Amino acid sequence: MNKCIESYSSICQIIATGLRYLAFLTVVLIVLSLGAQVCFRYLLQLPLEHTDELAQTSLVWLTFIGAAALYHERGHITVDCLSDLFSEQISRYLAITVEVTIAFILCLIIVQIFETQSVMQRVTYGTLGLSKFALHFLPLLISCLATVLFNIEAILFLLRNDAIPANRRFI
Amino acid sequence: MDLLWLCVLFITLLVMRFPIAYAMILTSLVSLWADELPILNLSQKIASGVDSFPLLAIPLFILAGNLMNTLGVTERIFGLANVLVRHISGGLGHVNVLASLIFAGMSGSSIADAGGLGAVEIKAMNEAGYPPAFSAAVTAASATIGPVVPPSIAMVIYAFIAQESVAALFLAGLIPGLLMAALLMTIIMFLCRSGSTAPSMPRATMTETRHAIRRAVWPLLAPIILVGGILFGIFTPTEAGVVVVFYVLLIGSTDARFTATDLACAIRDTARTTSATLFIIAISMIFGWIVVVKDVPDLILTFVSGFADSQTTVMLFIIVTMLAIGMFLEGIPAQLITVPTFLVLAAQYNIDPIHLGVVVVLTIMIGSLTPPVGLVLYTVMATTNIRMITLVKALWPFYLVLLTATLLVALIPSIALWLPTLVLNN
Repeated sequence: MNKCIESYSSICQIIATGLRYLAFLTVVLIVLSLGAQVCFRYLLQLPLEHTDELAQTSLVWLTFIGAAALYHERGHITVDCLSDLFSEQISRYLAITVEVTIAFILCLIIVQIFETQSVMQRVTYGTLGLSKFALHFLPLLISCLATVLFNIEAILFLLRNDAIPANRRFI
Repeated sequence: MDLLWLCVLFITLLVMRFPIAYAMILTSLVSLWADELPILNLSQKIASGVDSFPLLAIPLFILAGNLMNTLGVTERIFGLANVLVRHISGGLGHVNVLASLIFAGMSGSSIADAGGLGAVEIKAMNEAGYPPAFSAAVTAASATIGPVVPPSIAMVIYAFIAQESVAALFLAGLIPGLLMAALLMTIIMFLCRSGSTAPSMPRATMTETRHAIRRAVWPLLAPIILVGGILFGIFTPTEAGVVVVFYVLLIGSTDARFTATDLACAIRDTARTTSATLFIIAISMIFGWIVVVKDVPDLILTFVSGFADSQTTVMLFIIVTMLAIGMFLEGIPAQLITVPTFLVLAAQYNIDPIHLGVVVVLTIMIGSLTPPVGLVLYTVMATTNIRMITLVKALWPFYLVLLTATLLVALIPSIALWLPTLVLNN
């Protein structure tokens, strides 16, 4: 059983690392596309067409992909000043409740995305000619799926009476 | 569903250690179910929540701050501030404030100031013999100048919520930022009058001054390029972010210590901070929608109309509310939850939304220093290993100073509005 959990945790680690690299790339893409936009417009007097949208799309991807990677390293902002109020046992039960609830919410969002997928794939958005699904819903879908996997990992750790590994490096 | 129960649910989820973003989703979901509203809105509103051009400024200003810290630009700024004001009574305390003011002109984040420049400032002050709690308190207080002076991430977020001009907000923050710095330097001088808190420092020699100016002249040009570029319409506030990033890269790459790893570290931290910030913004879209559906702004307006008869009373109400919320919530969610309601109040009482924005950002900055939830407070504690209670005790005079600055800006609108009116109307 323990071996299975360790293997599953390794898979989650690989997914999280992949997401972190993707988030890293989106930041680079934002800087390069906006940098090119300013340079081409003011230095070469040659305005570029798609840079705005490319940067905005990268921002949407960065938000959701980064949020999933951040979940893996327990990096989301929480109010933890009251955590000392509870005993270790209660804290563990609360942590399991939190993980299960978040997984439930994310599953609901995943179902909603699949329900609207066919419509959203037909709606093209902006000048890039990409569908609204690819621009907005796909990163959210990937984020939700990955976070559910990380939820399961956390629940397995908590059920085994282990602490969830915290402060994992972002890359 | 009753509004009160939603508030209770949200607070309970926070106490249970739900991440703020997920506490917002769950509260929204319960509200949608209870009121039998279409749940499909959840994914649609979240998915398109951050698709906005002005929000692109956030990763860029965060990256600029991170690059300044990793590429040694921060040390150059500190070096210049050191030779300019270290001999005044209060010595390195003034250096700390001045360095933060210059840093604020290039980065829009108080966390980048407290965590990066702050570490340099605290180390220098402790080595010079300042009490560690005093060094930490000055650093924490001066870091709050960052989001008030342009560029500012908090202002970008306010502009996004209020649909106001980012350039006007940036200009409106300039004089209040200078006022904060002046008041902080005054209180430092007052606190250090005895000389026991602040060891006296010798005046810098001409050679030292020349060397520091030569090293800092390029970083000093950044705020001028930034504000000038926005004012003369050369680039938008969002594009200004990318200009600063390339400018800092250019300055930093001349440093012998520059490595590709430093650059990768800065980008990695930017990805991390940006996604944490923007994810909350994306989620708040659904939360904000529910606040409107529940008529919260109208309820608050009715409540305030019961006792407020002037702009002053409304401003005081807004400040008190923001300070109370700021104690328990981080700045961005606090802004996202409250600003839509405050805008309704502002419209009713003829308060300029740009003026409101500056006051909101100022109170958020005080909130970032107050326990139990204060990100600047936590960042300085992590840098110094000082206990919260010790730091909060040392911060008391600075709370009063920052509150005074906020009240002055709130009660005298021209402090914030004079510059944008002068520049943008011409």
